[in-house]
Amino acid sequence: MNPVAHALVDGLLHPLLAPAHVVALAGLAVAAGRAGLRLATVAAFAPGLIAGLGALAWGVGETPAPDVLLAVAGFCGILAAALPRVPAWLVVALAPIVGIAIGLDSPPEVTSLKEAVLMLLGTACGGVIAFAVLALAAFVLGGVGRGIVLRVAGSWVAAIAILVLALRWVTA
Amino acid sequence: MTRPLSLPLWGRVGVGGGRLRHNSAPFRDLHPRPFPTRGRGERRAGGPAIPLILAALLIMAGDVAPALAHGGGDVAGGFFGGFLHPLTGPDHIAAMVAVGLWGAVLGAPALWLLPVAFPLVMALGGVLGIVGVPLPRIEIGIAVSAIVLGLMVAFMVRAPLAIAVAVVAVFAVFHGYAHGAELPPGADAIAFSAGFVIATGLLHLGGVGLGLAARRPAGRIAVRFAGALIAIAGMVFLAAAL
Repeated sequence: MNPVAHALVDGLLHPLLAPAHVVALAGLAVAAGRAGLRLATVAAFAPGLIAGLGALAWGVGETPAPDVLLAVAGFCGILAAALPRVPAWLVVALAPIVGIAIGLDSPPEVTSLKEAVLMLLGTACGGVIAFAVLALAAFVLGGVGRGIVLRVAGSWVAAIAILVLALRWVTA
Repeated sequence: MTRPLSLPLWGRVGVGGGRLRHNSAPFRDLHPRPFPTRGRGERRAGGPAIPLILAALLIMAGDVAPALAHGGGDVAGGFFGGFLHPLTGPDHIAAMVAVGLWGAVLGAPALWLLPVAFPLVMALGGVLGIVGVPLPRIEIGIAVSAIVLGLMVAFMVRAPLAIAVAVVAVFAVFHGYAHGAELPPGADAIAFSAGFVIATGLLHLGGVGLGLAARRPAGRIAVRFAGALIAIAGMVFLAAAL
């Protein structure tokens, strides 16, 4: 694969290969599914992701984005596991935060401007597609067993996020 | 986190100190292709497209993963290491299956509430282990969890929901502490945590699945027998821990 195409594929797959991003996307999708939302969260997530990637291209340096992603994932997981009904407005409000944090935590590791731009474009597309698929899957699973599947998944996401946050703070 | 391409992007073309990814041009040919390729014309017309697409994605994923800025940890290795962590400890397996069995014996809502509560409280126990808060006699606590939960299943104890959740939560702290204390620092910590949380959850679900057999008379005996076996195993773990 030529380097330019490679950069685009790198970007497309990036949200699926960074564990913190996957946990955050899964947590947000599970909360959205418990709130009965289909695409409203995707509509709120996409501008956030683009804004985050734009800020990265603008020159924003190191940020606590991974910690923010894990904190939001843990919060979403607890919401999904514990609440009888997750407030839709809260999930929609959290979606752009996750988008911005994923954008800021996706620095392109390439050696040319062209590859960097393509990788950022790929990350934007890959992130939105990945989250849309997860959100739709969660919406479907929300109807299974009165949301029990999503409650269990939420508890798993929350546990993972809490443990890793604790580890990051201790090792920092 | 490595950032070979300085940002902002404009005006910095080609920066990165000449760093090359393992799969950049000079090294790309060193990697053997993971699957043999068919010659032109050998591909079956109308063959299965989805497996081919999936295979292509897997190849690309394997090719790009090390190039990402989050590198530094072996994600797949971390996940499987974490996944195997509860599965290689018979004391963990016994207690986790007992949680699911007891939930099934109690019926809804304990059926799903116990497997939901356990990981959440286990994470708090894990935080105690990570932070290094001293919690004495962890192995004894884990062994006692197998004994108590096994006996609950063996005698089909129909405890009130709050009591059942409290009992499971107390034991979850011990299991979480043990996992947390062994959590590897580094970039693959998320993958490791995901692995052991998912494995723990699947053991619960396995217990729930087995426990649903208790709805039939023969299954009821089998479930009680399984509970007794878990309790006996817990006594063996306790003897070893003392």
